Amino acid sequence: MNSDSRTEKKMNRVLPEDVLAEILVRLPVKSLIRFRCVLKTWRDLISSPYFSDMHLGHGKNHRRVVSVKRIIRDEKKALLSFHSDIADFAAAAAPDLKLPSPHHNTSIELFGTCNGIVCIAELARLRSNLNNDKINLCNFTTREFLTLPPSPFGWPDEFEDGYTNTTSLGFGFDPSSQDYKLVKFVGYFFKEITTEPLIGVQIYQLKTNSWRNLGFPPTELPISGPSKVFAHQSLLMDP
Amino acid sequence: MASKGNLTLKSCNGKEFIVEEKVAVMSTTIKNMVDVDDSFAQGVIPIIGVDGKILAKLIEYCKEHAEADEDEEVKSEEYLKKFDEKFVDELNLNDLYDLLKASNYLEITKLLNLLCQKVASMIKGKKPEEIRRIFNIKNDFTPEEEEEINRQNPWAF
Repeated sequence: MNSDSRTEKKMNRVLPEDVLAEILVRLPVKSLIRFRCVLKTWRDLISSPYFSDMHLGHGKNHRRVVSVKRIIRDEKKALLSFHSDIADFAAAAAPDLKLPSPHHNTSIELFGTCNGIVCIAELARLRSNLNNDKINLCNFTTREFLTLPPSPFGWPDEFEDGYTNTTSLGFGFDPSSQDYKLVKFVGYFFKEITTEPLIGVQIYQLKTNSWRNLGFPPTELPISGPSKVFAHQSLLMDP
Repeated sequence: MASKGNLTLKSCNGKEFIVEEKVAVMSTTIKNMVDVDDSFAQGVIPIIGVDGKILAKLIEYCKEHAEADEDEEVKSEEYLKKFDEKFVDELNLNDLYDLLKASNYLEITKLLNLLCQKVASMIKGKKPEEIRRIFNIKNDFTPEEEEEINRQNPWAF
C-alpha cells in the first residue's frame, strides 16, 4: 500500500485507550454522559472507576479541600452547605443540599465517601419499626443528589415485640461487582429483654437501586458511630 | 551520517531527517533509546509507523519548543502559545489523528496534551453520531442497547 495515497480517509480513526482517556478526561460531565453511547469502548471507559478517579483528579475538576460548612435545621428544613479552598466552589460545584422535611428526632451525619461521592444520612433516632432514615448520596462530579429508597426490611415476624434502629452506615465502592454499596448496621432492640441489641446487616447496591438483607452475622460486629471521612483527596469534616 | 550533537530520524517511508539532539529528545521514547544505547546516537533511528509528513510536523513542533526551553528571550511563552494555536488549527483530521498516535508512541507529552485538548474542544458539544463521523467509526450498539444506556441513571459512574 502506498502511504502517500492517504487511504486513511476511509480508515477507522480508532484511538489507543490511553489517548482516548486523555481526551475524555478534559470534557465536562454533561458531554461524558452523552458520549457513553458513541461506542462500547467509550462506554466502558467512561463508566470505569479508574476513569472517574482520573476525571476527578484532572485540572479544573480537582478539588483539594471540601468541607461541610454548616448544617442548618429548623422545623421546616435542613440544609447542608459546602465550602472549599477553591474560590468559586460553593456556587459552581456544591449547591446547598436540602434534605427533605427533617424529623424532630434525627441527626444528620456524613458516612463515608468514595470517588467523589459522599453519603449523607439523616438517621431516625427514635426506635421504631419504620424505616425513617433518609439516606442521600451526593456526587461532586455531576453535582447531583440521589435519595435512596427506604430499606424494605423491618422487624422480623418471628421475634417478640421490639424496635429497630440504624446504628451505623458505611459507604464504598466494590471493585469485584463494579458497584457502589452502602452497608447499614441495624440494631434490633427487644422490648422485654434487657440484653444488648442484635446487630443485623443490610446492603444497598446502586446499580439495582435496591436493598438486600444479610441477616445476623455469626460474629460480633465492631460498630462505630459517624466519623470524619476522607473523600477523593479531600478531607470532609463535621463542622 | 549525522554530525556530533545531531541525530538522524528515519520515517517509515524512508525519509531521513537530521535534527539536533535537544530537539529529538523532546520525545521520551527517543531519549530513552539514546540514553540506553550509544549506537543510536551515531546511526539512524527508525521511527516505526510514522511517515515523512507526520515526522516533519513532529520535528517542527519539537524544534520550536526545544528552542524556547533554551532561550526564553527569543521565544516567549506568548510566542509559544501562538505557535501552538496555529499548529493545531492548521491540521486536518487525518493529520490530527496521525499526530495523536505518533506523539503518544514517541511520548512527546506536551504535544500530546495539546492535541488531546484540541480534540476535546472539537467534540465537546457534539452528538454521538457526529463523533462517530469524525472518527469514522461504526456504532456497535443495537438501538435497544442505546436506549438502555440513555435510560440508566447516569448520576454515578
